[in-house]
Amino acid sequence: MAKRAIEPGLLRLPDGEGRELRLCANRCDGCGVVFHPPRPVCLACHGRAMSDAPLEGAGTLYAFTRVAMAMRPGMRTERGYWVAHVDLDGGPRVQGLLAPDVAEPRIGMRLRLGIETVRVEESGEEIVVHHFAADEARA
Amino acid sequence: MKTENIALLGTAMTRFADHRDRTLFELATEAGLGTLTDAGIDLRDVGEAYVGSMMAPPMLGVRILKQLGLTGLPVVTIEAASASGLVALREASFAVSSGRCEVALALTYEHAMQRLPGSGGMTPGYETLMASPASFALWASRRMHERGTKPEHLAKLAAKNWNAARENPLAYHRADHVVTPQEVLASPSVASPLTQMMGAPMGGGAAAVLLASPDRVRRRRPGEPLVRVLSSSLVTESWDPEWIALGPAVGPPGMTADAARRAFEAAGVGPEDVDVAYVHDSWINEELEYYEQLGLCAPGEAEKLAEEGTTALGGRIPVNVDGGLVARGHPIGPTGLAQVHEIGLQLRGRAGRRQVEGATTALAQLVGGGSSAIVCLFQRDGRVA
Repeated sequence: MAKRAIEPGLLRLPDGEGRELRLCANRCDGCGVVFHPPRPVCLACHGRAMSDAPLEGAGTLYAFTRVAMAMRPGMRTERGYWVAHVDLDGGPRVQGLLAPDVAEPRIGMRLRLGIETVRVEESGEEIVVHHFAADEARA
Repeated sequence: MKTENIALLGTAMTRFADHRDRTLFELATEAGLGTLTDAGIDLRDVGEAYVGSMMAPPMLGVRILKQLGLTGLPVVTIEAASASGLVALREASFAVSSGRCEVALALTYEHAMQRLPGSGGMTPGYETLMASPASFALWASRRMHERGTKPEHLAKLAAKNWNAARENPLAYHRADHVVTPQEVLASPSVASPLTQMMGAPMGGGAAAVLLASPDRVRRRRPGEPLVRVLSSSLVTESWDPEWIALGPAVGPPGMTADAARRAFEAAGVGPEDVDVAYVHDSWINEELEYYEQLGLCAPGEAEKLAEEGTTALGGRIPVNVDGGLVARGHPIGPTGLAQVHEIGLQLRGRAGRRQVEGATTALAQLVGGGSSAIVCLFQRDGRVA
């Protein structure tokens, strides 16, 4: 069934024809700073010339917490989930969930971008959000 | 910004509590009439009013003021999330110092149990996927990694604030026993490493402050020490490449340092002059961060302050001796004016068993989601009788 990101402009989903999962981002043409989600004005130099620069989403764990309350009604329902700040390779620090298979997070561990379904609409459409999973190859 | 020639004319607050049996109108009216009584005036003497909360629906501020009288005065509604109370104080200060009026009222209120129709809410989405305690828990996670902070440091400070509230009749939590750090650590986890007893209860309440020129306050309160508002500095986020400038969460801890630096400069006093401070401990690890951001200790020394009890009543620099947000409570809108009410008591020597002996200079700090930070400084003229 079709998947849709939880908000527009956040995620570029795979299309099944070779396009890979990316985090939407843009780069300031003037000073080179990268922003996720994309911004209309560069926060560093106030330039308005911004170019599309989607991020692959490999990175390093910066900080984490286990939240012991349920997510919003209708979303992932089990009690407790991890939230993290992740330093993307060549990109900004971003916030996201940790994948359910990350058992023991530690600061500095390698992570890679993935998606998970947080809700299924009546139409069957899956609402997805990004998360970070342990990067087995580079752990 | 310097708030020249402004002093507290009157202050009042309701108890912060669950208040499921009382309406928001009752609470706001109690605080509004309370501060008019404390000042010995009625609404005819008030030139302008600044009112607000975080979640109130449209028109509420004007309707609440009508409970106090119908005098035609201008009423302006303020909303700055957790910082709303101190932002209302700031605007009321400028109304007096600019000469627009002789007496200005700040009145803020909230009732979490009673979200009126039309109250604001957050649209579910990426930015709000994460529960708000998580943003503070992420600060704590990183600090533990970089500074070796232990959950025991957080528990000790939370226990300090719970025990301080035992001496505050208007506090939300009034424990019937001495709260221990072990008890704080054993309470259920909310967002690791934060436990339930390390976070503030919301509930409801209202608080109000009247401001006027020192001459006017001296006439009304002869023989009492004058409590001046020295300065108020409000900032929103500045660009910081290390910070995720997203959503309703509270911005980098350095915002408090920016606001404090400006507030101290404008007031002509320094962190070493502060005798008592009230800070935004919606989660207790914030209090630890703000010791350093406010200059109450050098960077890296906050854990030592926690270990040595430096910020408890009787220590070198008592912080949140009314219980702080953690135990006095944090209904959100009225929190800042509750800090100012408490500062009025402390600087007049009327804080009872939680009195900081000889307190002359006081600081109030809050952060608000979105995000903003505000620091206000107060000083007493004259002696406590």
